[in-house]
Amino acid sequence: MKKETLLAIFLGIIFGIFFSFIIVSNIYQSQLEEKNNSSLIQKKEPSISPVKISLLKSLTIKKPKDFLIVNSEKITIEGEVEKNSLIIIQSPIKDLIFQNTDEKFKIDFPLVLGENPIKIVAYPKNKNLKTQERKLLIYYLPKDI
Amino acid sequence: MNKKIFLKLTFFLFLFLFFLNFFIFASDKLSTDSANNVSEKEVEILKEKIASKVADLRRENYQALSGIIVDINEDEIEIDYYNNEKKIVKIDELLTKYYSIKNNQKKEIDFSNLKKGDYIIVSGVYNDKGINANSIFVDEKYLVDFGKVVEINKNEYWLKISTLTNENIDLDIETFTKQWLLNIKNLELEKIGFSKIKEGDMIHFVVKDEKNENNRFSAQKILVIPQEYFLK
Repeated sequence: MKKETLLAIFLGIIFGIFFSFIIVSNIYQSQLEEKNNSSLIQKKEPSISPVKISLLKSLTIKKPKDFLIVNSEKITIEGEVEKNSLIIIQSPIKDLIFQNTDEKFKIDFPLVLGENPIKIVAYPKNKNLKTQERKLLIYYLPKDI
Repeated sequence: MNKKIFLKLTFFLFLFLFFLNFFIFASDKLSTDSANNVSEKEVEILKEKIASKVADLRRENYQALSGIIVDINEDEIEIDYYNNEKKIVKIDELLTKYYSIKNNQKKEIDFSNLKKGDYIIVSGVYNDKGINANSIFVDEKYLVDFGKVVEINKNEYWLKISTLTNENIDLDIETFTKQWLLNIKNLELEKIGFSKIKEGDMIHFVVKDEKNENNRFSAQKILVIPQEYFLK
C-alpha cells in the first residue's frame, strides 16, 4: 500500500473517532438534562390549595345617601347582599319583595312628598344567617333645591 | 451670460425667501388663532367647572332635617331631632316659606300656623347649632319597622311585636289597616284577615309615630312573612 493511502486511512479513523465522541457526548448530555428535569418536577414542593371561606355578604346600600333631598317622585336604590336573599323594601306608600339572583341589586322606588322613611330588610337564603336591615330617610321636596 | 445667471439666481432666491416669509407668517397666525380658540375653550370649561362646583357645594350645604317642635320664638324654632338631640331652626322673616303636606300635596301656610308638637321638615343651610331655614314643611311622621309576633290578642285585635333590637311594640290592627301575607311559593302578596296571623310570623309594619288612646300604635299596613318561609 502506498504511504498516502495509509495516511488517508489513519486520518479517516482519527476523524471518525473524534466525531463519534462528539455525537455520543451530546446524546449523553441531553439524556442527563432530561433526567434532571424529570427529577426537578418530582421534587416540586406540595402545594397547599386555598380553603374557600364563605363570608356573609353584608347588606350594603350604595345609593342613595341617607338624608338625601330629591326633586323627583322616585329614587333608584342600589345595593349588595348575599345572593338569593329575600329582600323587602318598605315605606309608607310601597312594599317591594324580591329575591336577588346576583349580589348586586338595583330597583326604582316611589316617593311621596315630604319625608320618606324606607326600611330595607334582607333575609338570607341560608336560614342560619342573620337577618339584616338598613334604613333610609329621603326627603322629596320639589322645586326646593 | 454669467451676469444673467447670477441675476436669475438672485431673483429665485428672493422669490424663495418671500414665499418662505409668507409661509412662516401664515403658519404663525394660524397657530396663534388656534391657541386663542383653545384658551377660550379652556376658560369656558373652567367656568363650567366652577359653576358646577359651586352648585355642588350649595347642594352639599343645602340639607334637610326633621323633628318635633318643642319651642317657637319669633326668629327661631327648637326641634327635637334624633335621640332627643335639640336643633335650632333659624327663621328669616322675608326668606323662609311655610307649607303643610297632606295627601301628597303641599299647601302654603303662615308662621302662625306652626305649633308645638308639629312634626316639621326644614330645608336650608346648616350652621353650628342647627339650620337656617329656607322652607319649613309640616308633615306626618311614620315609623317603618319589623319584628316577630310574640303575642296575639284576638279579642282586641292587637299584636305584640319584638323587633331586632328586642324592643316590644304593640300594634292595633284597625279596620283601615292594610294586611298582606307573603305567598311563600310565588313570593306574591295576598290580602289576609287578622285570623291568618300566627305567633312566630315576621311582620313588617308602618305606623304613625303617635300612640292611640289604648297606648298602642295603629298600624297603617302590615306585611306578614309566615314562619313556614323560614322552615323551607
